Amino acid sequence: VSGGRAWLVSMGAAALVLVLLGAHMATMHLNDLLGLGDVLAWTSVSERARSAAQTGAYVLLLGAAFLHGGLGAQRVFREWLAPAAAARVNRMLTIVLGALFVVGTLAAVTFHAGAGA
Amino acid sequence: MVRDGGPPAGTAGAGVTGPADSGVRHARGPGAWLRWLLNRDRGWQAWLHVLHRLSGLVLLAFLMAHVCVTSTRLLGRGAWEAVMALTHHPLLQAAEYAVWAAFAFHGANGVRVLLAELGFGIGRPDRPVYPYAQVPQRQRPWAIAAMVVTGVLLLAGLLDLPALRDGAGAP
Repeated sequence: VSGGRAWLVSMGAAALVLVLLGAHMATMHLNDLLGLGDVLAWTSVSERARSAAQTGAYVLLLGAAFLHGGLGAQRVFREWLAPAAAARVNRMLTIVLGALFVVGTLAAVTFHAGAGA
Repeated sequence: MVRDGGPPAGTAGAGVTGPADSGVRHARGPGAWLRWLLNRDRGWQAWLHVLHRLSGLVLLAFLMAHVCVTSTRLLGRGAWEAVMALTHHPLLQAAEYAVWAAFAFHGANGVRVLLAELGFGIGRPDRPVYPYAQVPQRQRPWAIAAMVVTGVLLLAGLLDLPALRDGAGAP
């Protein structure tokens, strides 16, 4: 994806990230202000993982965030680096982000399947 | 169209992808990014653009590490709790706050950029009568609003920092 289409995809992903990441950041980082308790405790994590909706939202957020971040970073590297170097770095970035998306999705889905075990 | 948080072409402070902002497209090579970063010949919108990109890179780097860390839950409760114990270290607390700050700025400014992209707050085309109404002038209130939102989020995040919270509750 490149040019104007990349920009549109990036903006669409940004809108999705804004909603989902806003909820995620508020839950995880303003937990004391919001009275949510220890959200990082194993029991809390397992409880969230049992919810199919939360697992789905997590995977959606992961995909949108990697898409938005990946496209944005590629644009930055195209500005900072010479064309050949930027192409190499961006190819590597795509592979790394793709691999991390697979790892993150597998972790979320696997943990959801065995949550609480 | 507005690109990546920068001002539209043909306006004061424009040149987000051009020489007025970065000089990088015309002067690539070692240190080009540093010249891009430290170029002072910018309007306020271009500075927001630079901060938007830097905060975006910080968030992407964090996201990559975050996926690796959160995947440790697959190794079981012991592994998860051992990793989470590390997050209580003051350095990691400070890093977490830096990520929150990057998120607050990137999100608030991103909304401004998205709205400008959709045509809000940039005004209608009008006759070029002096003094010219420029997009940066029309965008200034939106930028100020975005910075106010960022400030509120930064304060909220500060209140949630365990070091401060626990310190405030100490006798």
